[in-house]
Amino acid sequence: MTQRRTLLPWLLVPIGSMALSLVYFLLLMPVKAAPGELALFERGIGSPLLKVLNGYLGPFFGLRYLGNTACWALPGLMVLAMRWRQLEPWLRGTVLFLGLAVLIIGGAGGFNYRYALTLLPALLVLVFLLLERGMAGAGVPFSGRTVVHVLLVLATLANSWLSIELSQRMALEDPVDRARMEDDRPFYTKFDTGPKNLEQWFTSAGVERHDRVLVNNLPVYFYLTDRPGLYYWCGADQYFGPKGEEPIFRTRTDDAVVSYLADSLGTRYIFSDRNLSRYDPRFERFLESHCTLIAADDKGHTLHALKGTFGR
Amino acid sequence: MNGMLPPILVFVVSNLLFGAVLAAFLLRWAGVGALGPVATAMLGFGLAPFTISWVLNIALLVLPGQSHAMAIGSVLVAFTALASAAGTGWQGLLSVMRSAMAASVHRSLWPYLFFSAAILFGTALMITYKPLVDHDILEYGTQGKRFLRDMAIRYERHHYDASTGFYYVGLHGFSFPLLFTWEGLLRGLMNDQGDAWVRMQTPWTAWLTVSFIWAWVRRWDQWLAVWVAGAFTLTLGFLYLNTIYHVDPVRLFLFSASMALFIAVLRQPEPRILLLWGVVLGAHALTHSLGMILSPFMVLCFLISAQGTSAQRLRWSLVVVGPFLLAGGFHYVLDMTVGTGWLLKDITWF
Repeated sequence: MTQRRTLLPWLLVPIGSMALSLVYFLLLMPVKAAPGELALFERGIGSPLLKVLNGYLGPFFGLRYLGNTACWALPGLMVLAMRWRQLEPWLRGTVLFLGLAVLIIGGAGGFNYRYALTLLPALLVLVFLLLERGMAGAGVPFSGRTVVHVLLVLATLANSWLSIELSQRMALEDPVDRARMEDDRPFYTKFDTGPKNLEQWFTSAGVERHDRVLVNNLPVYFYLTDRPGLYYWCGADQYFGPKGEEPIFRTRTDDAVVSYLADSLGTRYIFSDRNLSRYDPRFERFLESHCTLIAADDKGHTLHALKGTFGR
Repeated sequence: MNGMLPPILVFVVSNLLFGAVLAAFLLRWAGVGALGPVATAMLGFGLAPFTISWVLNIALLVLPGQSHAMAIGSVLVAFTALASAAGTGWQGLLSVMRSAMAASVHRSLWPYLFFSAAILFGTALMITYKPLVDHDILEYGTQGKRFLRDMAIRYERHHYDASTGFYYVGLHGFSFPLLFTWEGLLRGLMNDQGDAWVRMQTPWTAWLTVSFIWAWVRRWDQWLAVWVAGAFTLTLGFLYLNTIYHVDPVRLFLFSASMALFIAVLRQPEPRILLLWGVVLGAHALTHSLGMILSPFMVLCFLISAQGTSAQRLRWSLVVVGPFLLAGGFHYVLDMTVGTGWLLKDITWF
């Protein structure tokens, strides 16, 4: 009976993890981007609260990718910081560095789960070590401690299921991703999201070997072909040329963009994909109004030609 | 299967053989006190691709335009020297392998064996069905192919390739692009080309990362290692770490290793471990800018928190700075002074 009483408060840890996951995935995370906010939505920072949770505190609360255990490292680090004077030097250094690292990664790009993932193993070691020591100190027997640890791991699994479920709901709300979601081919056949036979695709679309193509953030063009290109990213309106970055659209009207592309940059073709093109509504509109779609594949890649630039 | 033979050969040489060389070298010269025998050996295997890219980086920087044979020869000379210097470390490596086999019968290692089998299965699926399609790695790959074509590394304001129009926007060290160069060099010897070996680095290093953490945490508690590894590998982030070709597993491995060595030197600042810590911090930096950003802070925390007098702590910290700069920090010194300017220019968030 006493043993059960000592265990009960510790069970609140995995229960808390699950409660947090339910609130996060079912209430906080939106499934559809607000108009013009696709980039913020994709990064999971589309509201002030999410900007704090997934952004600045991303290494703790980026539940979508990092699971629901690392969040306990925040109170863990705070408790350790409060006991600073009693800590051994190695633990002081570790707490100090982890605190600084969270500030740096959270401040500079916590929304990018890949950066936040950097600290995950260290934070998980901290959480499980503190829990183990805490429970052992409170007299919880080995079997009880194991129950808490196993429940935490199972809560991580449940969190991942909720995360996948969220991704599915988001995909169903997305006009581009919906088709991929509803495609019932085996999952492993969907790994290949790249264009097929790129060289042949361009040739059959009538693009000559020496024709220069404006490439919208698709490095696969440069990796798989030896064709000349112009590297561009519509999301930030940046063309990367011999002198670095310069805008194409920001300082020009659509008609002036056509002239600039054809006459100054020497290109009449734009290679993009539907997913990337929509990062800039103006670029997307430009493709519809001032270009002709000359090729598209089932993975969303598009090849446009500038209207009125042929036969000049 | 014939198509897979060349990349598998590259894997055997570059990851297993060269990894064993570095594992034996570390077991002899760094000892096992800081990380334990298994984690030390794992660190050696994880450092092998970095070491290849470091030698290539220096070779292509110092002697631009050299032949393929000379570049391959530089790497072989470096690993032959390390293998000779490993000496008794080879026996240590054999002993680590024997004890790891013996320990695998313990129940706490069964989940690890299951995890390893799952990674192997996932790797087979990935290599078969997923070509190089993810964004960042295609940029690394294109830059790596450019290094292979030019056989030169230049620090320049703009990494612009006039012949194709490709602009390398990456700001990180060249370690990862150079893996493509290495695969191109070795597969060129077999009249072959491709990127399957670089693609293998994603699951291989993800597996090494978990193995390293597992082995390191087992020193405290064998079951704690199971819970930590479980909570890490069951996240969606870890799934993506394995299924999106990227530099991330390598980055994560090197960061985790530098963190473990940081704790080791905080507890016992031995000179040889301080040197190793500096090398691993440098390796992390040569792989990714985040390594360059976090490493000075880690050294600063060591300077503040380590035991000993202020003068001792300062001396130990300086011991770390040398290998850190040599192993990877040099890239950023060059990039900031005669190159792109690194973070001193605007960053593009894709």
